Amino acid sequence: MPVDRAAELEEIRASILAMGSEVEHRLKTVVAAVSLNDPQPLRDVMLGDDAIDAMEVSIEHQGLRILALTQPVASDLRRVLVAMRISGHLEQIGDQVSGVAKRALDLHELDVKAGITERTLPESLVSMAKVALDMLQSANQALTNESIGTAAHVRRSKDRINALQREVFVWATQEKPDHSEHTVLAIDALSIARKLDSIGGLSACIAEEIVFLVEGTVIRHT
Amino acid sequence: MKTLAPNPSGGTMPITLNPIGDVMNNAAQPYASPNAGSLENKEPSDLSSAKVAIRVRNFSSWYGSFQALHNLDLDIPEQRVTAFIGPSGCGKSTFLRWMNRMNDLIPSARAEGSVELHDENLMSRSIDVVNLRRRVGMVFQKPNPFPKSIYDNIAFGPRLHFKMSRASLDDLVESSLRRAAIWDEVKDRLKDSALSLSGGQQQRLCIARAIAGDPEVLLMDEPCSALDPKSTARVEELISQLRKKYTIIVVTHNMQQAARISDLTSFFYEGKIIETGDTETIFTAPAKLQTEEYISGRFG
Repeated sequence: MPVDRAAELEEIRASILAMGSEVEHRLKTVVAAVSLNDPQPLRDVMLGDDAIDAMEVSIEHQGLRILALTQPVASDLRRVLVAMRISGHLEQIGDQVSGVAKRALDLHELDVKAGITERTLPESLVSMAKVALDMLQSANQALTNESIGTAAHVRRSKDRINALQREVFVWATQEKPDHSEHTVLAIDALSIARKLDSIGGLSACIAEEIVFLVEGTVIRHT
Repeated sequence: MKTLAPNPSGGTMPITLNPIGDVMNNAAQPYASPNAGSLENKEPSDLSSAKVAIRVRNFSSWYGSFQALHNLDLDIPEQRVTAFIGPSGCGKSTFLRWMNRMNDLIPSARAEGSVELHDENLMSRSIDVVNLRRRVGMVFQKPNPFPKSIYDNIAFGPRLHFKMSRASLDDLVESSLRRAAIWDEVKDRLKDSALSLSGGQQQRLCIARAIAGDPEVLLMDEPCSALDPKSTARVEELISQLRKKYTIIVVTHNMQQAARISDLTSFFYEGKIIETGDTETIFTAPAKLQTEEYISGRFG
């Protein structure tokens, strides 16, 4: 069957945008569920990670098909490479989102056992979740619009999320009167912070791919 | 990051087909890719260490009143493969044929400007064209062996140019066929007609014939367009071997072939060089939209 490269490229673009949108939706769900102390959406997100994995595999197949059958060059080639690499970043973000959901669920179950009805999370961790979500949303927006400016915003946010992670660490290592209770929360908070930081980092990787897509310039490690 | 090549058209005198006196003494300068650096963080190009073999300055040509080439400036690196790409009629084969003065055979063809091979202007009327065609060998689209034996196809030129003993000639035939990666296939049938060979073998025989005269430059005008994929792969492999010794220029309509075999790519359009750059850059991030659209198959 003849292969229409333009149609195939449009298809892989649609696939990567759909994957980005799905991963973003999951992160948004987890952030909202944590603040509402609602366990069910967290369970849904954990169970739904297979769908993200399947999307990554599908995009890899699409990319290989285009490379093998149409031998794209220049911006077409970059478009395929970027889609394949971004799908890998999104799959890893999906894993981290599931990890955040699992930790948040563990915390919730401990609260239920301890009879705690309202948990107050450290402000720095809440801020981290917002920044991570903003970075992923912006990365998706930059991909949709092929916007270097939005991609630059995502990269700049890396410093902010790193600083917040340090604040979470400082909070977690503070001495508290109820030592054992604080230790449990601190371990989970540090784990969640590490995953949120990873989501931010991977979003920045997506932003770097967008610069490569638009300008053909590799800015990784710069 | 590599430096950009200096603007080659600046300050040089237009040179015509009339006998040339002084020529620029700059052949030993290192080659600098004109587009190098547009793709940051890439591996250093092999071009950075190459000297300039052929220096083209302000070169134009005409067929009668039709101007086929417009003010070309180009540095072709020594012992590297340069690909000329562009749609049919863009002038790339015309330019190739000027490099060994094949266009002299066309009465209406004329040219201005200079094409210097190691400081010698190939456009000079005083140049020995027969010797030039030994120094600048050519391989055509369709294999064109002489209707003679395989042996004589190789020995024909050297017999004309050099006085050689039979033993020396035998050695030259064998070494040429070996360098063209066809020796093992023909060593037991050297007296057979060259026309009995397959198309792919005939093309490698023609390459062997071209290198038997120990040229400095090999011009190849769509050398694989009449060959099947396996023969094409063998010729491409041969080109990558030959680049260690010869400066090679290949005209091709096959974008993937240009990407596979060349170090430098020049994109021609309507008699002008639109863009020249190291091949990796041209095929990943070309600077000009026209180049991008041509290599992506959107026009031409």
